[in-house]
Amino acid sequence: MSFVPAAGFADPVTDANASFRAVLNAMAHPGRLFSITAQPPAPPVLGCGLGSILLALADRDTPLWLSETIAVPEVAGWIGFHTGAQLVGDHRMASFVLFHAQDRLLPLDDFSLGSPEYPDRSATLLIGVERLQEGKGLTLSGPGIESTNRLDIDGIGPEFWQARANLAPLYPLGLDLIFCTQNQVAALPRTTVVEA
Amino acid sequence: MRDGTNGPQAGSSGPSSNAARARWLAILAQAPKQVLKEAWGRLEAKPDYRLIRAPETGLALVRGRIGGVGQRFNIGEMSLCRCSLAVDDGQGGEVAGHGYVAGCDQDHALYVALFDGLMQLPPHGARLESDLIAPQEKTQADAKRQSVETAQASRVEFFTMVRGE
Amino acid sequence: MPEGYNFAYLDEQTKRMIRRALLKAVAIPGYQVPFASREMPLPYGWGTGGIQVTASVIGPGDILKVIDQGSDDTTNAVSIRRFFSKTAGVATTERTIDATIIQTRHRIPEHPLHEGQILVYQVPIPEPLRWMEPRETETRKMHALADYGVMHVKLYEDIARFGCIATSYNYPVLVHHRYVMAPSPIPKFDNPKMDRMPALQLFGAGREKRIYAVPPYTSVKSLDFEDYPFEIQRWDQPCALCGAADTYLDEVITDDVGTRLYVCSDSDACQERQKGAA
Repeated sequence: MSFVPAAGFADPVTDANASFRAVLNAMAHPGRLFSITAQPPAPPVLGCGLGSILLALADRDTPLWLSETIAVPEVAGWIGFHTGAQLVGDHRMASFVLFHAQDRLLPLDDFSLGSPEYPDRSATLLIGVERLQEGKGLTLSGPGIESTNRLDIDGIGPEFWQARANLAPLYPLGLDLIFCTQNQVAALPRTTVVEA
Repeated sequence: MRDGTNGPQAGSSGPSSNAARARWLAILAQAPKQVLKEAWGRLEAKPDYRLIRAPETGLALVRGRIGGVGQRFNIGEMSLCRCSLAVDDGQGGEVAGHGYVAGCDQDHALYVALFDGLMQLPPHGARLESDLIAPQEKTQADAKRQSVETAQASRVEFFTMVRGE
Repeated sequence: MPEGYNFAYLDEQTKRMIRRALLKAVAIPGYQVPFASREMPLPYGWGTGGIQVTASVIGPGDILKVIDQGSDDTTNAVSIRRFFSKTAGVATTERTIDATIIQTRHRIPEHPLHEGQILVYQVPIPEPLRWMEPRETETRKMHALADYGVMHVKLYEDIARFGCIATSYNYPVLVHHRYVMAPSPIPKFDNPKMDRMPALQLFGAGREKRIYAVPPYTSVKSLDFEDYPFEIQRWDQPCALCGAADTYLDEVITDDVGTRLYVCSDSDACQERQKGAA
């Protein structure tokens, strides 16, 4: 019989809005956790946190790159059906990059960092993690943070933070990171300074 | 709503079944919602279904040759509604139904998707063909012929002008 | 909500595109992100950019306030407020502290904004360097190189000609020590409120197709010189209605012989103060 994908948002308009507002709040308050309330029946390997963000933000204009663990046919079919986004094999072309914390790390400066005239044409990394916790872990400062925020991100090692810190001198070029569990999101825009 | 995916294919048996599905989808999309609603009401055993993509309204770019000649170009954007759902086939499986209609009536898209799903199920397909699809096809063809005849009747031939065709 | 409208007027595809632009704008404070601005059912200059930003952000639970020159009752503010209560069915308010989203033209409310609020500015000309350099390719390069000498020359020319920096509205600011940004035509009186504001500030320019943002608690510094520091406007009399001496005042001419009255431009702040005094 034909392939029948899982459903998308139950209420496309309000679910997309709520998911976007969570990401916008997270981006405006780096290190703080915000809830993702929509629960679309996304394939389990993707999870409904990452799934909601993709449904809210991805479409034909945003090439996606999926890590090996995510790029299974079920996920590709679901994303293709609901967003129409093109899956690309070359991660340098992607505007959204999806991987899990435990996946093999690619060199961060290999992703699109934007250009000096158009720093917005840079990749956004969507990273699935098991657990996010406020009040401990990394110390964060920068725009959106009154003095400092603390955030613990499960499964992201020091080599990742080193690679990210190496991009800081390139500002305004850079990568924006969105960390996501099943129902929570935190973001680190390129302006956030991270200390271990 | 520029959605490039074709979504699930109808059945599995290649171009001929696609052509058949394209025919009934076109007829369903142009049928008034009231007709579809009544046909749905007449169904004795209504199958279960679940929404895959809830009805939504968007824009589609329309291309065409305004003067009837030359290259196609963008005429403008039109509102349309679409909906996708999975209809229970009664044997533990399901088939996908898709509906795209012009305008902003989301229920209309939902009915088209429902009937698209049902048309792929043998017990419903044959009955709907005679009950809904074939009569609608005739009604729509009649309406089109009548409008063409009305237009043709108003055609004026000028002796001093050459038509640009 | 009436049939036939998308929630908040825009279709979901358009909202997605604007939402992506907004996220990049927040990630790069003060940088102007190009976006595919849509035709809106009102003319350019009436807030098409601000409306598109608000429409992409607003949800059913939001409470919207719209002001034009500080006032809730002017034509532009009333039409935009009605537009969103019609197309999105959201609650509206005139009280600054109750609003979750405030769309504004030409003012920042007097009452300090709190964390979680979103201030949406309507922007006519997003490029602060445009009057000095008409070519977009050049201004883009100047931003890329952080080459803002021309802006300082303009402010210097003010001093050379008038003895002070005569720019009184749309006064250029430096955001997060990197981008020079047009704060939209707010009076420079409001510039200090932008610095480290707890609310999120979003800017939309519909005709010029640009979106930019200032995240909460971000440094926003008005450009100046060591010997000619930035100063805000002052009045030698308080508001004639509420008596406030620390607000931005509008000059109202009340008769044919030129009698003048100075009243608060922020109608909500003025009324709250009058209520408090009564």
